[in-house]
Amino acid sequence: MTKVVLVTGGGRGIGAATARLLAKHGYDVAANYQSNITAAAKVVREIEAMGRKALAIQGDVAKEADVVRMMSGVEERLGPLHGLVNNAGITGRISRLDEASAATIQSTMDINVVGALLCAREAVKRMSTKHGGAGGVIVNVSSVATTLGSPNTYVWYAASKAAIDAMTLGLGLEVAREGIRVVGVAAGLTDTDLHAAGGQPDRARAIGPQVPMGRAAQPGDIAEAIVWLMSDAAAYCTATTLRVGGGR
Amino acid sequence: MNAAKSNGVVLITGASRGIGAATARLAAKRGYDVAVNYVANEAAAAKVAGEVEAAGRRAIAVKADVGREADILAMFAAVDKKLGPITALVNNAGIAGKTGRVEDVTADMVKAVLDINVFGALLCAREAVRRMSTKRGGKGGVIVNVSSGAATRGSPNSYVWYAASKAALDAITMGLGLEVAGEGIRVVGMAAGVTETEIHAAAGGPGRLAQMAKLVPLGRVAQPEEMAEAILWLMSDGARYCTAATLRAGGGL
Repeated sequence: MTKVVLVTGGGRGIGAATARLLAKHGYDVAANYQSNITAAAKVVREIEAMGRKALAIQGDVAKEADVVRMMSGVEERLGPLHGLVNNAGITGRISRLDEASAATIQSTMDINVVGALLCAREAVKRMSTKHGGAGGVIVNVSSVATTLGSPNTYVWYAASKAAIDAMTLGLGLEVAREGIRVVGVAAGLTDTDLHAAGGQPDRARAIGPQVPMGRAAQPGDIAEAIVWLMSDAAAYCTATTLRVGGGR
Repeated sequence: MNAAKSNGVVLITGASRGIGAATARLAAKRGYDVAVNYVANEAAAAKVAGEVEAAGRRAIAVKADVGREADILAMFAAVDKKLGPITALVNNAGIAGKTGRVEDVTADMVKAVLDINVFGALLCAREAVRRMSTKRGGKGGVIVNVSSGAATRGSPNSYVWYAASKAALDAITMGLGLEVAGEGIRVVGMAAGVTETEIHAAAGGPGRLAQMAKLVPLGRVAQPEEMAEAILWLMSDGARYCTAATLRAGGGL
């Protein structure tokens, strides 16, 4: 049976590239989106054109009711969940911490950490062999910011991704004997519209040359790592995060 | 497969057995020509080379003690001559020494472990960079350093010296990776978990693997082929943005 993967924030950027690459590797894919239905629908059409099943599914990952509804919807429409890519994330507007609003910090934590934890919880309930599931894989999209700290940019975002890395480790160990692997990809500077939302649309181009490899990542570069970690080839990788940062 | 164009030439140190041999076989399947380095077991290396050829790729078995510079230079020259310029190096050759506590270890053993695991890996990497760096007219390439989860766990009461050697290797991955990032070369590490190979029997007797499996969160030891999969992915174009980083394939350890 075809394996079903849910990608949160799957309408754009790394999430959309991951959804497409998963389909190319034979998965059926649910692309979650929060508000941009047009972008998610486009990803779904592209996946269907590859002969795979796809679903655009609305949900704010920071809201428990949305997450539960989304998970049920995916299983109803596509079948039992095999994989979750916790990709949905925001940075908030770029600034020093002393200039950041409580709302920015709160919404970053809500989406990046609470959302990822709730999605993971629901995925474990469905995939764990302890709960009658068939096992599966959770890939958490983290960031090289966890070790750089992102001073003068978004310390709260770096903190949120460090929390994700702790979740990869802790949950990975928690469910290691229940058929579930939990892995992370620490993405480097990637050319997506995440930076426009942060107030620096040309950030990837501006900082790209300073990356040791001399360029920012394309979303597809990060998607490759996510899809490999999702695969059986990575069967012995769990509770660990792979840095995909071009040396950063 | 036989008619397919070569995916490049990979030199794998310590490829007559264990993770190295599995990597050689998988590399052949993925279209690489393979230089199979060995230090003593010529028959095992010849068998691996034969399997590579049976997969439709070119192979040589090349003897060299990576603890000796002259051997390394001769090995690279032989690979240049017989297979052409390498596009990838897998620094896999490694020993753990006999398990024990630091207070009981001999100087000879510590030296032997460091010579092979660190000195050898550095000199092989040097030779690879000299051939692959675009700064020197090369076409770029990948160096994969086979490390161990021991680098961060420290392996108390087992082989602290081995853990230290692998931590040094991780530093090479980081430092050399940054050094050549602008020259078309990626340097990546694969921190292997407890893998079913002879290294454990050599270190602590045959019962050691079963004992260690209980400590692995995933509940089992790794097969060499699983480690090979990680190495081959890191060598592939899919890992094009990975450098100066080490992937942990340890089953949660």
